[in-house]
Parts: sequence; structure tokens; C-alpha cells
Amino acid sequence: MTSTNKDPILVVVQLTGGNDYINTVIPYQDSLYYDSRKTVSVAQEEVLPVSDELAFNPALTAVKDLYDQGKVAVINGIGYPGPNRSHFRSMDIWHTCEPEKVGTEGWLGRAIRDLDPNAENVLTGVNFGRGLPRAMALTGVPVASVAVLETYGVLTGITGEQERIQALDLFSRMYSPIMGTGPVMDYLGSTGLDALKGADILKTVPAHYQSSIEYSDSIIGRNLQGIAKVLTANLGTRIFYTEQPGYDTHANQGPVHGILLDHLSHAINDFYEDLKEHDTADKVLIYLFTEFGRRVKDNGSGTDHGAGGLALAIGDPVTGGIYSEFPSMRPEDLEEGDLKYNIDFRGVYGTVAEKWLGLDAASIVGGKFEQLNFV
Amino acid sequence: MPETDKPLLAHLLRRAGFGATFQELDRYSQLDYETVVDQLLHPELQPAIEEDVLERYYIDWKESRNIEGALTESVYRMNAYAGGRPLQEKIALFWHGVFATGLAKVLHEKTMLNQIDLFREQGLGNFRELLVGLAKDPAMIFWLDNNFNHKDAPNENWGRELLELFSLGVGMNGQENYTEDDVQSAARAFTGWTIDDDNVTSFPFGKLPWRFRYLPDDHDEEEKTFLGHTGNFNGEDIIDIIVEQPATARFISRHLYNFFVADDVQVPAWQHTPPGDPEAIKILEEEYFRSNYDIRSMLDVLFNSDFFKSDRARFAKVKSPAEVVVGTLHLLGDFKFPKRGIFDVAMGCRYMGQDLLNPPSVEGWHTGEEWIDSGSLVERINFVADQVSDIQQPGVRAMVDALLDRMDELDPESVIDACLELLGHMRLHEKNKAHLAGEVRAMLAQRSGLVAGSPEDRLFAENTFLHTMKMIGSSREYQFA
Amino acid sequence: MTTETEQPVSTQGFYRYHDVIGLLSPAGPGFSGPVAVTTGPDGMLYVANRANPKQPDGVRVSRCTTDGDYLDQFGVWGEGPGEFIWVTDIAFNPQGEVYLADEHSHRISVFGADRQFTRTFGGHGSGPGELDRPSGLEFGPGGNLYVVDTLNHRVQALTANGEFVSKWGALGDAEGQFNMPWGIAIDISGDVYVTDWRNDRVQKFDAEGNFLMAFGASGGDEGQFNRPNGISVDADGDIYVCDWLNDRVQVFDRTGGFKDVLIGHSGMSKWGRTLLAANPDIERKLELAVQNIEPKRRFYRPVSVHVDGNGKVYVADCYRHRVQIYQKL
Repeated sequence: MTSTNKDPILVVVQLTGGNDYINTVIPYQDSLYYDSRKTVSVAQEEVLPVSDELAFNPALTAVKDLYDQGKVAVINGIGYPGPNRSHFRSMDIWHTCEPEKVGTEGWLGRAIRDLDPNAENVLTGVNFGRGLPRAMALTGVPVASVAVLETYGVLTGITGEQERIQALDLFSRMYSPIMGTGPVMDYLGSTGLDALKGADILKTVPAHYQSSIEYSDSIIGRNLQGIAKVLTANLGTRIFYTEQPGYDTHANQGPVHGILLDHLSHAINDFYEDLKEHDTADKVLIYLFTEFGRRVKDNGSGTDHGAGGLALAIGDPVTGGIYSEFPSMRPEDLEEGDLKYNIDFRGVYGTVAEKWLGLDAASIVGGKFEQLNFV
Repeated sequence: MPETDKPLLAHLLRRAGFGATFQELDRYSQLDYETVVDQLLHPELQPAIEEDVLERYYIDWKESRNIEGALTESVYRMNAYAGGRPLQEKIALFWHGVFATGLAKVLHEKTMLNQIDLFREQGLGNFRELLVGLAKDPAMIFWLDNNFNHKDAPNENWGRELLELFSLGVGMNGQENYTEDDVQSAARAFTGWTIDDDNVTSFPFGKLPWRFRYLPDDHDEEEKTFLGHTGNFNGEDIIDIIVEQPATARFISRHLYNFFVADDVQVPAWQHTPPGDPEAIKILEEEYFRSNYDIRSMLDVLFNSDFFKSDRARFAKVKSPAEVVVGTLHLLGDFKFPKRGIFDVAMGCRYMGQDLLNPPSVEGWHTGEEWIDSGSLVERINFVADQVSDIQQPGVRAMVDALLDRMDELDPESVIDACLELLGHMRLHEKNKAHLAGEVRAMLAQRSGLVAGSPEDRLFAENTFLHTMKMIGSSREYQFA
Repeated sequence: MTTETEQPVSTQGFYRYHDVIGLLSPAGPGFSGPVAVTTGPDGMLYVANRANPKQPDGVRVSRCTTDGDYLDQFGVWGEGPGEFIWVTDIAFNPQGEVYLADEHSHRISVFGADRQFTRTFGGHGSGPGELDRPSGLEFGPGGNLYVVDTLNHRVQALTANGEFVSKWGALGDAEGQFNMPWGIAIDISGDVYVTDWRNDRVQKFDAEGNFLMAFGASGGDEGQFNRPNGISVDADGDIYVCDWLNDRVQVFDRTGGFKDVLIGHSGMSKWGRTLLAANPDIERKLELAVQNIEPKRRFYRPVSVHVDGNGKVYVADCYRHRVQIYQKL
């Protein structure tokens, strides 16, 4: 598999904690919204309308600009049957497409495998952040998990060139597969060897990156800049992943949520501008999701775990607009106090996998689900 | 009395603590195994570390103001007690993983450190008392918003997680352990359990740790139905019902097994997936009830059991980042007296995927093989490789001196075996030992030009040992405890 | 915040509360872990800040007027020339040069009266002129610098350029022995007072190091200490001791007899009032925190004490990031 400059790239941003759907995309004309959320509702005069019914949270100024340019798809009411309100469980479901049982294979892991079946490029999938998200986990699929791009590598303490070459050679022999040692040893082996390979390639990136964009100072800003550096180095990476933590706003939601969305909006803007500067904006799709929305009624200070939620797709490849119905907030339409979902998230993943990455959706998301036309 | 089996003791100390140096194993092996277990189960009988010296040099700890400072203090303390009171620290780490509370939200370092102290002091005691202590812990109350749980506006967060993550678990044997109604009843029973101040500002003169406060006027005095019982329950009544449940015995037993015996499936799978060793869990469940929910008794049974001592349990766990970092520090004998630099070392824990005192959510960390990914593996390898070959460290110096003493002739296999033993009776697969032996042989071949016993020769031997230990420390096998 | 409390400012009534200077801040008007306070020949207040590893920018010496008007700061974190990491004490020589002790780098750095770095001496070791975690610094009337050489459990007298003059002390609890000594003060006759930290006592020597007297024992009663550190002697010969883990400052007469004790009665500082005026949400939070205000008036690890020629007593209240000021009556 050779990579050309025009292969489509997916950047997935996980909003961790359960982003509050209806304070992000707000039904600003619906009195039910204000009645249900006496404490955390956003003032009507401050929202950024995108349609007669829906508006963005005031912090999402850059996202609103991109929406006006037709580059943002709002995907309403995304969820799955039998919603789970537990972080662990729900995030695992979003990562593995397995609402019924505990899955360990990530949908992006499968996508990486399909894009690069022989694992010829250890950098087909790159995660920016600590640890590896389950979404990208699949045995046999290497993923580089980069905390800090500039210092990524193995046995970096050995400085003499000859000693280093010898040590890495021994390392690669000691990490080679041995029959009968069990899955964890195998996993360690392949992980180690892939890390070795990936590090060798990635160490050339920082020196080659050039950009006029000054990313704003936030975790998500730094991670997206890291992604931009690797992406514009054209190493053949097709799937990037990162997260913005902190969305579990049970209390004090007002100020906390606003800051998170503000950071997110700026970071998306900086990243998009950087892509444009490098002439690659047309091949990058940014997909944002969260593990559940939050309850319709607030709890006096914040909101508790809910169900049906929101996803956003952003970028040049997107056909902007509002997709899928905004779920009804009428009490009789709720499910145990939560919004019902209108579109199964696996269909949205399927849309991305099939229409953007050109892969077979069913094998990646475990079935056939309704897709949309945002890309 | 013949010496107690050292590999067994090394295994015990890796699990009940952060591993033991070869000198410690020499001392322990003079006692019989049951005596060593008993000693480990009573950390309170060993001397405390010198708090005044700590406070003098780490002047920012008492009024700790950032997550990294609290993480650093935790790593220092685990290392400081790794010799004298290892199980005190290990049980605190255990409960911290179960009762995961995160500083990113609590934002009050001393208050969070006080919670870990609760686990140190009561973690080996009665589980009911521990749960009550947890329900009154200010960091926990704030973390799960129980300070917003009011009689007229209940907040379910604590009520839910108490059942889901801290005691019963979602389900057992394919069944669910509680309903949404139970969650709501539990939440109502804990109304009024709050803290004295949720003021999070450091300004102008720094912070004060929070304290528990009970507000009777905010407490819901109505009848509640919980797990089939009905009454005007307050929080402690809920806990009394919880600890009686077989599901609680199962949940706690599986946690103890996962942490101290062998890696098994993660918590979300427990509703539907039976334990890897059902017999072992049954033994622990029985002890849970027989001892009236006493954790120390359960661990006594666990450490003395066949399932713990058997070969199946050896190296059956992937080390957590805390074990990698603290285990290495203890082996090196580093930071046993306050000096600068512990901050940078402790941050290694974060980079390996375990931000102590700041887990990613109330569900704690994914453990076992999930500690490993291409990111964290790189961190672990680099950390250990760099530390374990640093001859300036007293522990490394001691190991190298012991090796120089023991070995007249240096042949590759003996060098490797001796290093494995001093690093804590570690193991290498035959094939990997052969690879490493090839490297050591090549190194030793260059020794022939040196005069035996000369300083150059001694230095050469030292470097051979250091390089061997470095490569063992970087190996796959070294990732296991 | 109210300024009235039930407890008297000083139990024997020899002192009244005057003012507080401070605010938690890693730069500018504010302190971050102040560990040493003194007044300079320019009449200004100098405060050395220890900060924390995550905020190395907070390591500096702050300078302000004794009325709490911020002037400037100098010094940066590091191991290079003129930089410091674990600062412990400040002292001025008769020429007005500023001396800082660093117990990580085991050295003393000298800055001119203009606060520009000039030279450094010391170095890790136990030989003459070498140091092992130096903590207290003070100049004697003869112009010699006395250094509390903590992990060598001794006091050294050096010239203003760091040349060895004399030393005394060894690890122990007999007269003239020390256990991790911390602070030092020198009276007008050149006698040297040392807080013998782990022996929970104060020892007094003449300028040559001959033992004169000792007082104090472990405990929390009057005249007892729990790890004493900062120490100062005023013009009347009264001895002020920061009784660190007892969170108080005790005052003794020249014979070592107990005289008075301060427990801290801080009000709001000028810098604090400025911050609150600009941040009404913080002020609201403080108002809600009514029951936490009382403890915040008290000392929380007083580390350093200095008495000036006008009977003003300055106490570096370390974990409250401020200097409390009292007036001798």
C-alpha cells in the first residue's frame, strides 16, 4: 500500500465525560429548554443561531463561522438502544460498537486494519495523548501513541551511536515473537517493535514542520497542533485521534462548559487554518463525539448523565447543515428523563468509514445502520 | 531453620509491596513465610518515616497547590514506606483505584491527600467502616457532588457510584444487582452529607482542607426502599445493607484478586463474565463473611493460599505505572531522604498512563495488559533502562558490588542469572536469555586485553553488569510483577 | 473579614498587631512559600520565596516597602551563576551586599546593593568552607558571615568572601552539639544564637563558638518547642523564636526565660484588597467561607522572624504566603 498525497484522512476528537448536547446545540426557541434548565440554560440572547430552531453555544464562535461556510455538519440525536449512563461502559460502547457485550476491538482499529491490511506503515494510526483509546485497539494493529512528539522513542538514554544501534538491535530480537508465551507477551512484543519503527520515522517531523499559525494555549490546542505536524509531514497517517477531557459537568456547569467549548472552538479554528496553509484542508475530515449527552432537567448546578447526544463533522469535505431530527424534549417523549436517539451512532461511523474512507462499513461497525449524507 | 524460598518471597513482596532488594530478601528469608505475611499485614507496628524532615525540605507539600505536587508526594511516600510498611502503601493504591477520585475536579490537594491517608489508616480494616469513612470524605463528597445532594433536589451521582463502582457492582452472574429506584433511594439517604466549605479559591492566603459536615435540615427523612428493605434510611443504614450482600463479597473479592493475584477481565465485564479462578474468589468471599468484612483477614487468606503461591500466579500481573516507578526507586535506594528531583521522576507515572490522585474518571484506570500501549511501553522501557544502569544510585552500587564479589569467572549465562536474581528473582524466556547472552559474550570478549583485577578490569566488569541489567530492565518479561 | 477575635494578640500583652503584607502569587506583588524575611539597609522588606517544583518562576526575592507597597523582585530559579533553587536565608553585610543561601546547590550567592549578582562560594562537602544544606545566614559585628551548615551539624564563620575562619559543632545533643540546626541570630555584642532544630532548643555561643547557654525542650507548653527554626534578637536582647510545628512565635528574655507568644492575627493585606476589588467572585467565595476565616488568621508554619530597630516584628508566615507584622509595646 502506497500513500499518495490525496488519501482521505480522519481526525477524531473525543470529548470525554459526556458533553452536554443541548447546551452545545441549543433548541433556543423551545420554552421546554428554559423550563427544564432553570440553572444551566444559556441565555437566549447570547446563543449563535444556525437555524430557526437550533443555535450554537456562544463559546463556539469559530465553529459557527465554519458552519456559515458550509463546513460543519450537526448530527442530532445520536445514540444507541438501551443507553448506558456509565462513563466506562458508554465510552467503551462508542469505541467498540458493542452495546450488548463488552467489546475489546475498536472501530478505528478495524478501519486502520482495512486501510493497511499488512501493517506496512506503523504510523497509519496515530493517537495524540497519553495511553491508547480503545477505539484504536485491535490486536495486530500498531498505533503510535504520542505524548510529546519531540521526545518520542525507545532507549533514548543510550546516547553513543554505536551502542544505540547495538542496543536497539538486541531490543528488536528480544521483542520478536516466541511461540507459546501467551497473548500478553505477544502483545508486548509487537507493541515494542512497532514503537521502534514508528519512533524512527516520527523523530524527523518537528524539524520539518513550518507554520505561521499560533495555536491558542490549551490541551486540545496542543494536541491538534501535534496532529497537524505529523499530518503535514505526509507520513501516510490516515487516522488521528485525540481527546479533550473535562465534560462531566454534574456541577458548576455554566463556567466549566463555557471554557471547554471556548478552547475547543479556538483549537479547531487554528487546526483548520493550519491545514489550509499547507494545502491539505480538502483531505481532512474532523469528527467530534462524546460518550453520552446529559439529562434534560438540570440538577440545580449541572446535569447528570443522559443518553442521546451530539456529533459534529467539520472540514472541507463536509456538506454542512443539520442532520437527523433534534430529539423531542417533551416529557412523554423522554426515556427515563433522557432524550431518545434518532440515529444510531454506528450509522454515523459507517458514513465516515464508507463515504469518506472508502471502507466497508458493516464489517467495521458490526452491522448495517442508517447512514447520512454529510460527506 | 532452612531459608524460606526467595523467589516466593520476591513474589510476595512484589504483590504486597513494590518489590524487595536482595538485602531485604536475605533478611526475610530468615523468617518463615507465614511470619513474613503477618508482618506485612501489620504495617502499623513498623516505624513511621520522619515527617519533620519531609516538611522541612518539601516546603510546598503542606499547602500543596497543584496536581503534580500531590502526585509527587504520593510517589515519595510510597517509596519511603516501600521497605518498612509496603502493604500500607499498596492497600492505599488499591483503594485509590477502586474509589477513584480525581484532583482535576476536586482541586484541593490537601483534601485529596487526606483521602489517601484514610485508605492508609483504614484500608486493611473493616470494609463497612471504610465505606462510612469514604462517604464522609470531603474529597469524595465534592467529587461525586454529594454537596449538591439536597432534600428537595437530590443529586444521584454518589448514590449511583457507591453501588456501581464501590460495593455491589452493576451485576453478577448475568443478573443486575440493583435498580434505578435503588440508586435514587441511596441518593436520598445521603442527603445532608456535605462539606464545610466548597470554596475553591486559593486567594488570597492559600487553601484549607475541607471537613465533613452533616446538615440534618437538608436530610430527606422520608421512607426509602433499598434492595428490598424499607425504612427511613440514613447513609449508614444503606451501607449496612450493602455490606451484607453476596454481590459485595463478590465485587470486593474480584478486586482483591485482580490487584494482588493475577490480571483478570476488567470491571465492566464482571456482570457477565465469571472470574478466571472461581474457586479462589469463593474462598475470598467466604472469608469476607466469616471475618465480618475484614480486609486484613481476607488478605491473610489470600497471601497464604495455594492460588497465590502457585506458579500460575507468578508474573501473572502487568505492573501498574506506580509499581514501575516506585519499584524502581526502591530497588535503587533513591529518594530515601528528601532532595530535589523527585518531581520529575514522579511525573513518569503520569506519562506511563497513571496520573496518581487524578484518574480519568470515577471508574479508575484500565489495568493489566491495558496499561500497555505503544506510548506507555516506550515510557516504561526508557524509565527503567535509564535508572537501573545508574551506578551513582546506592542500590545499583550495592548490586554491582555484590556481583563483583560473587563472580570470579564471568560467563554470559552466569552474569545474566546473577543479574536476574539481584533484580528480584526475575525471569527471562530461554530464547531471550540466549539473545542477551550473545550480547554479553561479545562484550566479555573485549575484556581479554585487560589485566585481571586491575581498576580497568573492574570497571569493565561493572559496565558489563550495568548493561546487562539495563537490557533486562527493558525486556518484555520485566513488565510483569 | 473581621479583625476582632477572642484570643489576645499576644498572651502577655507585650505586642500588638500592626499589619500584614502578602498574597499568594508566583510573581509581582505577592509571595509563594516565603522562607526568609529581613529588612535591608535601604529600609525595605526583603522576602525570599521557595515556591514549588511546578512553578519555578515563583522562586525569587521580593522587595517591598514596610507599608506593603511592592517594589521589585530579583533572582531566578536555576543552578547557574546567581541562580538558586532551594533558597533558605538572606543576610546583608555591613556594605549592603545581599547574601542568599541555597541548600540544594550548597552555596551562598552574593548580590550587590543594586541586587546584581557578583559572586558565589561554598560547594558541597564537609571540609572548611564547604557546606551541606546551608540554612541560616547572619553577619556578626566584626564583619564575619556565620552560616548554619545543617547536615554537617555545625556553624561556620567565614569572611565576606567565603574564606574559612572557624567552625564549631558536631552531631549530638550535648552542649555545643547540634542536630540539623536551622536558624541563626547575632546580638549587638556578637553572641550567636542558633535554633538547634531537631534537639528542640536554642543554644547561645560567643563569637568564637564557646557555649554560653541553652534553653528549650520538646513540647507544646510555654518555653517548649516543636522544631524551632527562625530566630531574631532585638535591641533589648529579647529573643524571638519561630516555633515552627507549634505554629507560633515565642519571645524570651536574655536569660532564656519565657516572655510572650504570638499565634497570628492576620487581617487582610493591601495586595489582597486589590485582588478582591478586581475579582468580586473571589470576594463572594470568601464571604461564603465564613467558618474558614478564623483559622486563616493564624500562623501556618512561621519560618523566619526579624525585628527591626523600631520594635517591629516581621514574621514570614510560610504556608499563608504573607508576612505578619507586630509592634513591640
